[in-house]
Amino acid sequence: MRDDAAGRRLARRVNGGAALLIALAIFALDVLTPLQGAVAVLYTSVVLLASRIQSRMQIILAGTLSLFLALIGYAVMHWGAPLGSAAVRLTVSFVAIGITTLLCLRNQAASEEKRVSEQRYRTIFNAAALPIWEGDWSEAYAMFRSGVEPDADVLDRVARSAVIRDANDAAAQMFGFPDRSALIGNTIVRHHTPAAEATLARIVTALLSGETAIQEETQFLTRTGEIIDVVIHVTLPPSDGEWKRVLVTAIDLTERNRAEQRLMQAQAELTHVSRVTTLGQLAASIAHEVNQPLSAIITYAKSGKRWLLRDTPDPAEAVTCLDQIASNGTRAADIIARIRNLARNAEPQNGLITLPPLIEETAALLNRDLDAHSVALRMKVEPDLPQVAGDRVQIQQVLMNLMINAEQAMSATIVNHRELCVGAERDETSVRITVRDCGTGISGDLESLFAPFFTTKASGLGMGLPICRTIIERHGGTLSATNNPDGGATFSFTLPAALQQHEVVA
Amino acid sequence: MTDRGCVCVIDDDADVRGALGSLLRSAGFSAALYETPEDFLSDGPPPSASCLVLDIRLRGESGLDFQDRLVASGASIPVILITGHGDIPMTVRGMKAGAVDFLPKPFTDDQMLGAVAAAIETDRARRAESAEADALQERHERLTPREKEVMALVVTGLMNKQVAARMGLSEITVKIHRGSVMRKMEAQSLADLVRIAELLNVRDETIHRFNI
Repeated sequence: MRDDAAGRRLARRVNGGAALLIALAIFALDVLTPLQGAVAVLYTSVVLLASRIQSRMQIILAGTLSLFLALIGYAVMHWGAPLGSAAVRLTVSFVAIGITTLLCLRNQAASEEKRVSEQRYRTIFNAAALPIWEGDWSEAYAMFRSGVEPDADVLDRVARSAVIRDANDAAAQMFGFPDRSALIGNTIVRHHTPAAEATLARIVTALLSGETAIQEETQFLTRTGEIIDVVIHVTLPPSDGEWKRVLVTAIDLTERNRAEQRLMQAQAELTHVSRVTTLGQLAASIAHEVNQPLSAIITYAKSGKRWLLRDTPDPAEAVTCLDQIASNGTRAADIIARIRNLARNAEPQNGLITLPPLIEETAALLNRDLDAHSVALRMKVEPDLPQVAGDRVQIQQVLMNLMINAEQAMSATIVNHRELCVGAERDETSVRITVRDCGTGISGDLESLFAPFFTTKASGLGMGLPICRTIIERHGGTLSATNNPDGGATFSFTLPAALQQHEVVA
Repeated sequence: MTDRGCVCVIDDDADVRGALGSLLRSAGFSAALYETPEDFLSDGPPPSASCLVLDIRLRGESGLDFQDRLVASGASIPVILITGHGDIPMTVRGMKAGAVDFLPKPFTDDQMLGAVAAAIETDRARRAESAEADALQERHERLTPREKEVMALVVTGLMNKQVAARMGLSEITVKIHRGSVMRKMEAQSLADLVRIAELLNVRDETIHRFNI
């Protein structure tokens, strides 16, 4: 920048000197030669020369000097003579110099304005926090003009020919360079990823179809080989018919996407932890549930051996024992499979869920616990329920949580009145599942139940219901609570019915 | 194999119940399996020497509660408690209520069969004892009121004439009553009669050697 300013100062001096010399030469010509023309008109060239410097002062100075020299020339040559053709020539020269000076001044003002505006644009361009670069795609334009189809090879050539004319520092930083000089004059081919190539194809197609503003989400490689997620905005300035200045602005979404991903991961982990915690609450009854078939197996095995070792062995009884061992083994394995499903920490899997078996399975898991707390379970599941889409384990987790909550809400209810109703019914385009207890109901704000860390239990984290709600909302449904008119509370959630195959066709 | 007695099992888990049944039968016991205490009660008390294997953790009424109910009703069947999660308070409660054994699951077949055999033996002895007591009671019922009075006094160690004086009878009459008491009660000697009186608790408690 400093060199630039110094150069400009030098140019101004040289120019000023030249203008002065020419003025003197014209003066000499005017005074020393007996030419009978309007030599003073030539002074206009001095003004024009001076105007090249784009300095208002210098133009005025050159104009004034010219007028002054012309007047002196006249005075030297024609002083005392009566006003004649010389005076007319002087007048013509004055007018010419005056008009030239005025025009130059106006021109200077216009170009000054343009320069300021250009500078403002530059400042914005350079200072913008948004990465911006300007590419010269004229070669690509020429190729397509000549009728080439944009296939993979051609697109590669386009990418290699699209030189960056200008870029700001933010753009350089996005690609991992310290400043913009590293980008200018190069292409961004070395930053391309497969995604970026596909994006380029789409951009070219859009530009060819006449669009002038295109937005695309894509990925680039930085100088260090890191992949960044970017939304780019490609703009073709209105006057640029030949793709000479294609303006690209970019927004780096990498951090945002990463944060989002971390959030999702944290949420998934929390969901899993809560599920395992729920299972932990059931640990005693689950252990008992698994222990029963195991102890049956051991006893049947011992008894089978005794039947065979009797004085008169009884093979038929021994065979019954073996059959029972097999069926109890299966029973234990089934229970373990149910629990393992809930305990696994897998990515949520989306699929179609048939609700009745899910409800039954959940009830089976809780059966022992409900019995232990003398809670009678009533189920009212409508037949022909539509399937819902989502993660089976998470939906089961929600149902299990609500059922355990209901069970715990009834701990103060007299034994014969502890009834838990689980219902599932079709509700227009969704399925509604209700879990109703006859407990103490909910005092205070119903919505506060769903706030994290809100708990009414002595040993509760207060995360169960917020997690349930997150799960249901992620599945496109709602989870809400109401107090029953006749005591207790009802929690219900909806899930949108998955479109059946034949419904899609119809 | 001879019948070694009847074992009643109350366990709400059909498989566990079935397995126990098979084990008990393989060892020569006969097994009566019940899902709930009510089923057991509806069968009435077992006629011969038996014991009850009772799971503490039942659906509905707990095994310990049922045991209390059983004891309160005067049933005398020996109870063996089994449980998957026994703790000390449970054990204490069960044993105080008279359980003969407490087997935590998993128990071995020998433990179970041993406990069952011992419990049935106890029941058999108890039944024999109570059969004898019943017979004595019956014989005692057959005595006339006078004879009962004579017996109550004789077993305290009073001599015939002392008895006669106390009752306002002649010594001869007392002797006759005493002879028929010995016969009717099938007592071999005075010592035998004293033992029988102890069992029946019919000694006249008002008699002491210092206030005759």
